[in-house]
Parts: sequence; C-alpha cells; structure tokens
Amino acid sequence: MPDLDSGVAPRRWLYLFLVVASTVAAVTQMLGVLQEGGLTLREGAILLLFAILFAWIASSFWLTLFGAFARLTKTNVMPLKPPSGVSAARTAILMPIYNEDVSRVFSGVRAIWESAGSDFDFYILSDSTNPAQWVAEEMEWQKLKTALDAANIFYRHRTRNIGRKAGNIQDFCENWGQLYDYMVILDADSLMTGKTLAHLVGLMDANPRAALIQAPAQIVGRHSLFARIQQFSSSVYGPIHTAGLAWLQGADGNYWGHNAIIRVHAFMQYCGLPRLPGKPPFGGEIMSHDFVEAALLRRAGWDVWMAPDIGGSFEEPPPTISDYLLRDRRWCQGNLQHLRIVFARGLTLPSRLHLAMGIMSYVASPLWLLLLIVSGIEMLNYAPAPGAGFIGTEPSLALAVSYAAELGVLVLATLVLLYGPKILAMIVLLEDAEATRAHGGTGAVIMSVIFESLFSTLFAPIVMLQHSWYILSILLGISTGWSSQHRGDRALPLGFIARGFAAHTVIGIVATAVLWNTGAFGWYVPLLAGLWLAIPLVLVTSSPLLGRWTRSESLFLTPAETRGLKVLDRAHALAGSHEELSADARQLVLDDAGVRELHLSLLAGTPAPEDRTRLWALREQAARRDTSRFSREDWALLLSDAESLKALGSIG
Amino acid sequence: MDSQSRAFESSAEPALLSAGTPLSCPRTMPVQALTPRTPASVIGALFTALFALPRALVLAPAVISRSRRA
Repeated sequence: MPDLDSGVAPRRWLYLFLVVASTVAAVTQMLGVLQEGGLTLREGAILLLFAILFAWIASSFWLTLFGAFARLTKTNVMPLKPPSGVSAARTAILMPIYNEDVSRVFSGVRAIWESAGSDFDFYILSDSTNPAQWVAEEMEWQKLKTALDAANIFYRHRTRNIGRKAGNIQDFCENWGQLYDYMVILDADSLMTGKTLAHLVGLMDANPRAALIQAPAQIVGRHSLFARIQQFSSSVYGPIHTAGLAWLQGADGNYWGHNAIIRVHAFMQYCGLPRLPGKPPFGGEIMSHDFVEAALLRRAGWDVWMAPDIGGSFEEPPPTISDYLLRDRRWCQGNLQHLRIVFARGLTLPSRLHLAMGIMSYVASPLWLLLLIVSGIEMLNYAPAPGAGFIGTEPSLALAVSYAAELGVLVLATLVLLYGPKILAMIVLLEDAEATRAHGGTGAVIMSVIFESLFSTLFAPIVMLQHSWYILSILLGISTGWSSQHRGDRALPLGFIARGFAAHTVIGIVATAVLWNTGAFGWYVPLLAGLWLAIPLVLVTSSPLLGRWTRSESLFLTPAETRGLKVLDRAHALAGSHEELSADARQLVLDDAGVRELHLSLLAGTPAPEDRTRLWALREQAARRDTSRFSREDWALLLSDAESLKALGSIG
Repeated sequence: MDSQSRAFESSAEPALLSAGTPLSCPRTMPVQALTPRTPASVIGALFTALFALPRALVLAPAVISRSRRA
C-alpha cells in the first residue's frame, strides 16, 4: 500500500533545522553576554537552562508557523482517502464516567444520539464509586431509553475500578469489543455531531491502515471569564496549532484520550496496558494511557492520524483556574510516569517525541523557575566589569560594558516566540471574513487577543509555580488519587481562593523584596505581577457574571456563542430542564420496587461481594430501615449484593 | 471481523435490553511489554546506528556491485 504522506520527512527536517538554528543563534547571543570575564558555573547553568527553554518555545513557535502556512495556503494536512459510500461497519460510542454530574452526562448522550440517529450503539461505562450517583445513573439511563425508545443505549457499572479509565475501556473491549469494528471514545463533557461521527467512520473504512483518528475537540459551552478566554484561545489559536501538528506528524499522530475513533481489533490486539513495576506515582497503573496507546499502535505498524479540519468535535473547559490546575495535577503525574515508558523497546521515534513533549510540558516549569532563581542570584552578585576605554593610545575613564543591545535582541526574540503564534493565528483568522464575523468582527478579535495575551502573561507564572510544586510533590512520592472533575460554572469564594493561592502571592512579594535593589528588577516585573495578582486574578476570572459581561462587550466571542451550536445548545437545554431526584437514590433501591428491579437487572452477572459478615450486619440494619449511619462504603457494599436486595425487597 | 455480514443485524437483542448491555462476547486483551531500554542497550543502539549508517551509505553499493559481478 503506498505511503499516504511521503512529503512528511522533508517537512520534519526543515522543522528540526529551524528549531535548532534559532536555538543556536539565541544561545550564541546569550553566550556573548555571559562569557565576559570567563564563564562561571552559575553562568553555565543559566546558559544550559536558557538553551533548553528557548528550544522548547521555539519548537512551539515553528509548529504554529507551519500550521499558519498550511492554513493560508489551504494545504491538505491530512492526506487520508475520503469516505466513499455508506458504511456497513458497526461502531460503539463509549462514554466512560466516574462520579460525574448525572444530568450533564445523560443530556450529552441524548444530544449526540439525536444528532447521530440510531446508526451507533451507545455505552455509558460507569466507574462511579458514589452509590447515590450509581443508582441515579441507572434511573437516568432507563428514563433516556424510554424517552427515545432506543434499544441501542447501554449502561454498565463496575464495582471495582481496575485500571481506572483505561481499565474501563479495556473491560468494554474484552466483553463487547468483538461486536464492533470501531469505537469512539468520549469524555463525560464531550460532544460530537452525527455528521462528524459518520465522517470518521467513513475515513476508517476508506483507510484500512488507520487504527486511530483523533478529532481535535474545540472547547465550548462554559460562561465564566476563565472558560470564555480558553474557548476563545481554542477557537482562534487552536486551528494553526493542530494544522501544524497534523502536517508534521502525518501518520505518526497521537491520541488525546477522547473524541477519537479507534479500530477495535487493532486496539484489542496491541493496547493491553501493563502495570508498571513499583509503587505510584511512577509505578502502578498507567495514568495517562492515551499517549501510550497511540505509541503501541504505531509500534505495531498501524497509522494514527489527526483530523484538524473535521469539526463537530467539542468538549467543555474547566470553569476556573483552580479547576484547571487541579486537572493538571493528575495530568502532570501521568506525564511524568511516561519517563518510565519513553525509552521502552520498539517505540517509534515520533512516539518517543510525543511522550517526551508531554513530559516537557510540565518539566519546563521547574526549569523556568530554576532559571529565574539562578539568574536572580547572578543579578544580586553582579558587579559590572569596567571596560577599557581608550582615546587614541591613552586610557580614558573606565566605563561599564553594557549588553543592553544583546539582551534586548534576546528579549525581543523570546517575545516573538511567545506572542508570535497568537499574532499569526489572528492573521489567519482575519483572512477569513466569515470566521472573523463569527468571532465578533475585526475590532473584537484584536481586542480579545490583546486581553487574552495580557491574561496569559499574568497566568503563566502561576502555572509555573503550581507545576513546579506538583513535580516536587511527585518526586517526594506523593501520589494523586482519582477524583472527578468539577465541570459546572461557579464563582469561587474568596476564602477558598486565598487558601489556594496565598503561597503564590507570598513568593511574589518575597521575590520583589529580594530583587528590588538590583538593576534587573524591571525585567522581572511582568513575571512578578502574575504572582502579586494571583488571588484577584483567580477570583475575577472564575466569575460567570464577568464572563457574561465580556460577552456583552463582544470580547472573547466564538462561533459557538455568536451562531449557536445545535448539539451543544440541545445538551444545555436538556440539562437545564433536568429534574433532580427529590429522594435519596440509594434509599429508593430499598423502598421502590421499580427502582430495585431495575438495579437488580443491571446487577445481573456481577459477582457477589465477599465480605458476607459485614453484609449481614448491613442487611439487618436496612431491614429495620436504620440506614442513617450507613457510610458510602456500606451503601456500595449493600447495593452490590443482589441476594440481600432481593431479601430486603421481599420484607418490604 | 466481517462487518458486511452484520449490516442487517439489529443493534441489540430485545430480550437482553433489561440487562443493560448485550451478551458478553469475552476475549482478553494481551498485555503489551513496555520494557524500558537499559542505559547499556541505549548506548548499544547508538553505536549500532553510528556504524550502520555509514556502512549502509558506503559499503552497501560495493556489496551490490560485487554480487552483480559474481
């Protein structure tokens, strides 16, 4: 079979050359500044850290430049064969959930089902450990099936969450995978349109070497200021980033864990994940399974693609900085765990690069912090070496040698690398009149990019400190658990924010006091400002009210807001009209014969719990309707045992 | 898997709907090895690449021409 993307190698070489050349040029410039009077150990450390971090931001800059070029020249960055004809394949749409907001999950499933029709089978794969949510999910599932008269929406609950999300998917594959050609993995906040789903199936049919096609998700649907800024960034900056990535990676793509279609038999054959030797955080279950699964598919010779132009693929952002950073804690541990995998035998070089870049996206923070600390110390100890001035042959007054010009060039280059992608993305957007209108018009786009840049400048040092702390805590062996994400809009209380971000503010104030008298204080102000303002920044950006106000002022507008998005609007409307359960769902299993019957039918085939003694005690208490002191674990145990529930039912 | 043969199947058997899922069709996923390379094997691989590339560029044509003569 011919290679679908034979032109990818020259592009990669050019990209590599540009990253290396720009880094070498910057490092040479920096070396010229530092080597005055010989290179000390501290200056050597500055140079090394500078080189690594410059290469890191240069890699991102050149990637987006490739993407911008591809967009402006309308290059097809995904050379897959187009779908032909109606597909006969069977596809399952999987939504693994874990203690998620029930109304959000089922509204999303219903919106997708209504958009996709009955061509797909839907599986809600629950790993929920909260018994009340477990029962509520069952009831919602039955309600949904009845409302849609749909035979193709399934529900399965696992009482033991072996392997977390990857284990949940594996459990599906091992039980029902053979019934399907493809599976589409969704997150609890994912939305996809029927058209996109059908297109992905057609692409898989037409390209039998493809094992996975990632449909990059545009983030949409939340109203807090922070969420709206992210949604705007995703809508404006995202397209050139994904285009650059797709153009450079070709069939060596990556998997981002959801909003992707997967060839089931390839996945089943090659993506059984091992447990890493040792204890968490570095050993145990593989937390960030997606990158590893893509690497395993590539190792087995399958193609992994990204479809940046496919559209119709959405997810919701974390509503606040606090939620964003909480999610990052889990991702950070997952990515650092990849240090154990990046050198695994047989992986392709691009797969290793994907893993390495994932690691670097977190490790860059402590390296940056280290660079600031070392350069700060250097500034404190800096004594300008007198330069030898001469007038003719006579020595003149000694003058301090100034490197303002060299440093100015370096700062300018860094600014271009950091803000250039935003400007490029804006230019690409403004080239498209229709897309510009959908973002509120030229003026609105320019103002939004300026404010977004200001926000991201203040936000960056907060992320730097937070990531550095995460990495330190992981190196100290502190593992993160598996907590569900908070996805709804909410204004955070000041006390909560102050507790979470006081350390950032204190560090900012201490750094200011230390650097105040150095000549370089001005250089640090943009970084320190983010730390000084950490608490108000989190407070202000978590506000849905301010989010709505900026919307009324035409700031951070996205097409989803200006034109509406059918599948999203439908999901929101369904969630908005959702009726909360008035009774305790757990108690309903004991008191309501219909709920109990449903629960028992879904428990069928589940092995009975082993702790019979405790179960007997709980059963006795439940028979007396004395469940007020039941813990979460007690309820989970009782609700997992069909025999006890049947016995209690016959008493009731 | 022959998807064509299942084109006309219904998506699920009605009698099984109350069970929440279709009948299980079990098949285990083999666990993949992710053995990390040891430092020695990384150095070995680097050396192999270091020698393999020049050999491929320089020696391979000679080998081919010799075999042609033979």
